[in-house]
Amino acid sequence: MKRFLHHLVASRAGLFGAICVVLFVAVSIGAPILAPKDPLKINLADRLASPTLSLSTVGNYPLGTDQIGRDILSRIISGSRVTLIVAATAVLLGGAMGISLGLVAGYFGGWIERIIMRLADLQLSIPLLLFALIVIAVLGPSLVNLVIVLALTGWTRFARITRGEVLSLREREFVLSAKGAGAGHLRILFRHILPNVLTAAIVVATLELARVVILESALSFLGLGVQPPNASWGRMLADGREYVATAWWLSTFPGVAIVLIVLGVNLLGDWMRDFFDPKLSGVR
Amino acid sequence: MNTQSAPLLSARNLVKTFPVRRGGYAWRPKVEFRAVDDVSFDIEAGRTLGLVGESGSGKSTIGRAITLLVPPSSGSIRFEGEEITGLNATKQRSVRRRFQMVFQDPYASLNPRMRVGEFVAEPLVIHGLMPQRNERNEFVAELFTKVGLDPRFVDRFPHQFSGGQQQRICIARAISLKPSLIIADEPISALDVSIQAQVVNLLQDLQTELDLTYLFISHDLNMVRHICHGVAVLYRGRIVEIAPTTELFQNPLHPYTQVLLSAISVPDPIVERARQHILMDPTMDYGEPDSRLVEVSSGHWLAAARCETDGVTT
Repeated sequence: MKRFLHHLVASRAGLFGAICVVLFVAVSIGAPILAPKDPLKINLADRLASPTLSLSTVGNYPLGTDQIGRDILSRIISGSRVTLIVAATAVLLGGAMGISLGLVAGYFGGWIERIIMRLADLQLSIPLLLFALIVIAVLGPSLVNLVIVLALTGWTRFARITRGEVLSLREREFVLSAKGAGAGHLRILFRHILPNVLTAAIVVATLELARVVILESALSFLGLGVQPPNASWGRMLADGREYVATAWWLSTFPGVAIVLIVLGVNLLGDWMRDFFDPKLSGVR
Repeated sequence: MNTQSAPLLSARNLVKTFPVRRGGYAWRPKVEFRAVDDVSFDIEAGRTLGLVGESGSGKSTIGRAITLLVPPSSGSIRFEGEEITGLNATKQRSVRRRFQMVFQDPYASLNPRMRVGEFVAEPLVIHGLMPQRNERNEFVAELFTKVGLDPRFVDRFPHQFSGGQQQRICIARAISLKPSLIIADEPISALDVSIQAQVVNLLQDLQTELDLTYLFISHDLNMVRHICHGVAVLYRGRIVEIAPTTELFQNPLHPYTQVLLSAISVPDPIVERARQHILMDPTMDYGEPDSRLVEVSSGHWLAAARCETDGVTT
């Protein structure tokens, strides 16, 4: 753990990423306490108030208000919960699904592989929004269904990358040597192949996280994701679009939040990949 | 000569075929490529049999078939008197404890994500030997010393070692289960020449110390001459000549063996320049498609066309 922190501080990009991620996670956990105002409270008198930093008045909105007078800062804080939970669970779910299917496909080959990979092709051939529309129309809009849709659209990347890696790892001598020592399939898969696949999977996961945050905003925009009046960054971004010429703060601040979390996760992911690669992290 | 009891390993009529499509085109019918074609040989306990031949002659496939890493298409392999082909998974696991393999590329043989000590101990864990961690660590340290590595290195990762050290780690892992047979598939050809001798000496020391038997797959004839008791020459998946090492090097009978031996370079430029090479004619087929091994002198077997041998036997 000490080594972990030491190594993290030594890498500036990694540290920045970690700070972003930790900050956002902390904010989302403490959202009800941290939010200065009720994120759902409508105040038409103060609609589209511009950002101010005067500390005197009660009607002080550091990041302004939206078109019906809700405090943007409070909405960003409360929206971080939804956004982070949806994004993290969708990526974890999609990753777990994709990696395990990819492992099985690559390792066992044959008809199992053909079925799994054609399933992935099938998944990729369905237009994303159409797929989301169908699933949500059938299951009804809810956070759980949103996560399911996002995970289902994401697993194929994990599966393809994993399968490709496994195909090359499977023929490596250390796998043969494990087989020769009497290791079973499970041991070979989890001790020898999976750890060597994770490098690639982490990279995919960071990219996926960014994609999922943006996709969530698109789905929320279409009314398929987070339901109003609840806040999510994507929803706020989408809602502010029509006011962008007159009230830039409506979509700018949620946008900045998305950029920061995506950037943070990418940097952290990059650093993690290096940290867990024994070749790159130096003599330990 | 024929004082041998049952040999440690005996392969009979071993065949391994791979289905291939000519040119790799999906619409062409599959044909069988015979990588190993009717190969038979014995290895006696405590000896080293060299398996030599050009690339693609089926050396490695034989090694892998014997360790059951690729199931042989037909034929029999008897190990310590027991048939080991066609065993069920449980039996195969237990029989695998008694032979281990060392591969050509030491770096590829090590899991880059696993500490080397853990890697060496893995076979013990698989077979549930030494369940106590302390005991296991001690044994691994012992193995490290035995192969000439500092036991303090157990917590390092493979990339922190040189090629020779990596091969030593592989050897340590191979001997961890106290096997009786080690199949060494070109164990030194990926190493620096200066390191090769060290590793070969290590293999020889371990042979006397642990009573090991080797199947030494190589294309380095000098090395084979140095460490093998017997040599089998492989040509296009078939054994064309098999003999005790000195006999084979002094009296090679098969034309392919003669070509192969002629290709050994002598580390003396004057001798080398004056030497008359027998050059290989790649268009010529040195093997007889329908031949079998005949004992021409004690322990020296040569592939001969069936018609000739028919004359001999009748």
